[in-house]
Amino acid sequence: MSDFYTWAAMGGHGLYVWSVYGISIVALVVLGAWPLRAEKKLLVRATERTDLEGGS
Amino acid sequence: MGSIKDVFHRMGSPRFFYHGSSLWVRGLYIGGTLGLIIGSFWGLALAPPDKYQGDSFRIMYIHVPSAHLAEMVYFACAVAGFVYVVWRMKMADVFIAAAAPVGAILTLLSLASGILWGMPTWGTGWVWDMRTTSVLVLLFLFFGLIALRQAIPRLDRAAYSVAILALVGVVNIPIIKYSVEWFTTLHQPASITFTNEPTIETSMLWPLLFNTTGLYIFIAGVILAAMRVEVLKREQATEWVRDITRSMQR
Repeated sequence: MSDFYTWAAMGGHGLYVWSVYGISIVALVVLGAWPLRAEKKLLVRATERTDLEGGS
Repeated sequence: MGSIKDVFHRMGSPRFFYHGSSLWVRGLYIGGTLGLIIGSFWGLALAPPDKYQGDSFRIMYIHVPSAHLAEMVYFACAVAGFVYVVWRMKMADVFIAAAAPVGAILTLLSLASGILWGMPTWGTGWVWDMRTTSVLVLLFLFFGLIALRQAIPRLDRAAYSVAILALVGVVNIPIIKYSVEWFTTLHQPASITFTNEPTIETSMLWPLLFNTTGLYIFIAGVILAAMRVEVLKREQATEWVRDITRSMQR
């Protein structure tokens, strides 16, 4: 267990190293998820519009 | 020759692009994520600490790929800008619209990781040297591409202006690249070049290659996915998008 803590401490630079990796994970998840969500939203909106046009 | 022209024409069709890119996005997301997981695990857990910087050097596995890719994304925007100015290819403008926000986030990531790397190694997070300053200019150029498009209501005029800005701003890329050779700076010269042996130890090099390749693949997927969104926004009134929505209703 102490081996893990030694590794996680990164020789006293843990705060810097883990902050960078944390920020990167958040940035990449947001970057990856945003266009997929936006595409889904646009298609749902377009489908609703087609529904309205079909109904009128 | 005819077939190259044919492919060029088909790639210029939003409809062809949208239908052909779906599987690519999924594949690039998966491939890129795998590369990043392997590279990051290798870099964090298996690579030995640096003789001078200790474990803080592991920030390199994020900083270097994000900085490199941010430059490449801008360069690709400039190439797309050239294609738009010369051939008025709609998909070239779609590419710039999709890639500029991605490039801005990558530049922010490279600046943030640089600040956090500078604190333990240089004793300061920010220096106004040529490398850091030119990367900050790159961030402003990406912001400029985004803001200029939003400031001009007519799509064709906005596309043309953005393409010109992308072309003009590309002069910053060689400045970023050679800033460490042309000017006095705290940044070290490139450790990996096409002409010389890498000056980085092999056990530290492999994770860097995995993370760089992984990030390239992942970002290619993100830009493709963002281009699909841009295509849908612009083509939502067309018959082929209506066909997609009709097939979703069934």
